[in-house]
Amino acid sequence: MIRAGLIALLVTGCASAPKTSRIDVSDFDAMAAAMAESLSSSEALATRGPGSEPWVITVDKVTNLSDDVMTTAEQWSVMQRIAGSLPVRALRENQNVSMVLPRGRSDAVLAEAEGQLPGALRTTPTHVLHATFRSLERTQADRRTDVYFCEFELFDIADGEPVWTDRFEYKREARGHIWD
Amino acid sequence: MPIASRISRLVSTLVLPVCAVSFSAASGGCSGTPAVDDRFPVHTLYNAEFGRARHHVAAHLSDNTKDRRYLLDRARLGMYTLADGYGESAVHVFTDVYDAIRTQGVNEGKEVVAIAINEDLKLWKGEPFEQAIALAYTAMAHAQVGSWDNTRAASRNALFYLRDFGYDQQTKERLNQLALAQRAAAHDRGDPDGIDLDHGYAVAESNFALAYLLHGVASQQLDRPDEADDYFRRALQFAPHAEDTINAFADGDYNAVLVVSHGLGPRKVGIGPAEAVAAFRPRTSSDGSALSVQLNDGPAQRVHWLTDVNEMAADHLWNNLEDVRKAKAAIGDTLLALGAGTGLYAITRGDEGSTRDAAAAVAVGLLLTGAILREGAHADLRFNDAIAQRYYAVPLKLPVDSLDATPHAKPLTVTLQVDGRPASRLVLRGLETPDDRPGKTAVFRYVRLPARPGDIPLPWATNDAVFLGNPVTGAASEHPLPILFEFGNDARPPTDAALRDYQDAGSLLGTTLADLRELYRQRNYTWELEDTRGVAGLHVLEGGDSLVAPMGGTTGFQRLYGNPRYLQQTQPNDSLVGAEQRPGDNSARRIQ
Repeated sequence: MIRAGLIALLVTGCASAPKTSRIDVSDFDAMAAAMAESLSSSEALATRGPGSEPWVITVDKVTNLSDDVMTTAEQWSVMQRIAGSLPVRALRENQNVSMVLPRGRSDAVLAEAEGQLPGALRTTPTHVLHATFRSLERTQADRRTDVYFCEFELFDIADGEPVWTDRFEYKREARGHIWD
Repeated sequence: MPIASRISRLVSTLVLPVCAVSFSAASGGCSGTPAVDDRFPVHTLYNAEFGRARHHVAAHLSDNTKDRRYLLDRARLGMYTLADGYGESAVHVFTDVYDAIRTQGVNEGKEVVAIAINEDLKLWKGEPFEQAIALAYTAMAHAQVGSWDNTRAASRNALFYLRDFGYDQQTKERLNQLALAQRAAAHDRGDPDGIDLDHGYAVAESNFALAYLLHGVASQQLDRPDEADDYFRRALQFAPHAEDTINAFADGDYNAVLVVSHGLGPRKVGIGPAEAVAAFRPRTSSDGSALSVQLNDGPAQRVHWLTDVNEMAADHLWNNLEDVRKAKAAIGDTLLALGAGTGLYAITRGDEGSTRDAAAAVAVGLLLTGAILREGAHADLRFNDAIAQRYYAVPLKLPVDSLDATPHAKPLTVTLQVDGRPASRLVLRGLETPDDRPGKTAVFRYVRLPARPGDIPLPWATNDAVFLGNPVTGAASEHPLPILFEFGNDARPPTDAALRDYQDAGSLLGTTLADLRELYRQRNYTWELEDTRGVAGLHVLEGGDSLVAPMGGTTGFQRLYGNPRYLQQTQPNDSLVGAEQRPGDNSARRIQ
């Protein structure tokens, strides 16, 4: 009884929330929104209209060169978030730009992405959107900071020239002993 | 009142209740959190029965992230799952493991609990070497499914910095944990030769050679040659005895990578006063033996070990909680001594009522606190018993199309054995190789050898045939029949390709794939990972209900499909196989 009470008192009295410097879903949301906005308002698309030659942009999963593990689902979800965002979906009608997933991936996501990836899923792509994540890590005994650099590039498949690039950076910090 | 009587009264009024509390704490304190998994049958590891091992751990797994064994049991499950050849399932488990390890300070605020009650009331995060090895397994699980970018990231995380307290000036040997605890206590007493555990260390680079090598291989596969060379150099720095192997990796002339482990990692024990200091004792001895690797009938190459876990665990570099344990033991002893002294004072000053009562009350407090602290001073003896004793890495140049296992083909075999340990011998089959197209990366397999002592290898481990049909090498007979049926010899899940093979051989004519699947469902068999929350269950051949197959070129693959014993286990079921549809030859044929 005494022991149980002492444990309860000490545990509840001293516990604090643990932290991690890993990438999380909120980072993906913020990143996808920023990149979609950047792409839709870019110079590359400024002169385009509904009657322009169609662009079909295929996307690939994120290339993860960061120091954090990203599951395959996470690597795809960033690109799916961009493809499904309102600014990018609006490009189809306003600037004749469609964003599609590769054939292998499109079959897997068709069901879950209902209504978010309109049309052109198997159209021959004209452009490809790449994303590469990198990071810098700084570690102390009771603190770790990771700065993530997420680079997005849109290439014209015909000549390999980049038509749009942008990057998204964010920092995450975790306190507490790494081993504890 | 005579002294003897006063002592007797004090014992009965003060000490006995303290002892009762102490006994209560001792008897009930850790009953819910055993130091080791006492239910675990160790012979499953000796016999490389990793299916049963993971099934056992999975059966006791808690989904509660606040459970004190949450990380420990997940790490064990992941390691057994990868050893059993289930790459995707292992990735699934290690995603949780990685997330838990990367979450810092989960025990923040629980230091007082650990000191006052018991170290093992904290959430288990393991010693640093256990964390580093778990992260290396995370890296290997991702490599096994071809996700080299995550292999790179996970192995990078396994290379965290360590605290180095150096050597004993007199013996010139590395300070061990007990010596460190004594020097820390000396520091607390003001001894200038003592060691301040909080600040008296140098930050040291990790010496975890396996993680450096994994990072180097991953960098190579991601076409980052400069980075790869850097990590191979560091692997060589910490494992110079494996120079030939590391240089072979650095040359890049390979298309398959094996990481081979052997033996049981060390056991954690308590040593010193009140067993307050943790130390690791070998379960499999370190003998420095090389690994013999033979491709088909070619010459055997010898590969030297990269990482010896006995060595890691014995080095204070890879341990971190002794300061807390020592503090608890010291404080507990001091308070017990103070309490006894105060009690004696109360006895001898028995004629001064108020002073005696006050002293007695103080004695009660000190004794009670001291006894509780002393009780809790013992080290947390939970440890990850799934870790192996040693790890080798093997670069292989396999011939293209090695997966051709038709009855007329000579399938590729890789034979592994630790020198001087014949019972560790294992023949790998079903190892796939990539084609030569640009951009294709190397195949990776983690292989855990049987740990049994003695000279006699396990029969299934050295069989020269695949006896049962499987998704990797296909049908094992010219007359394949699902294992659902009497004389069944095919353990493939119900697919179009499998059904076509059955029907081409004259069986199950008129049966549709839907019919076949329904028959499996009636037996409650599963064959998709999604049906079992991403982690394959125990295979049907071993008494479970899963038809999900281990990957080729793994211990699990050989144990299931290289074992003729399982041919005898098929159960009669004539509901779909009419007599006229029975294959003429029901005996399974071996693939030579």
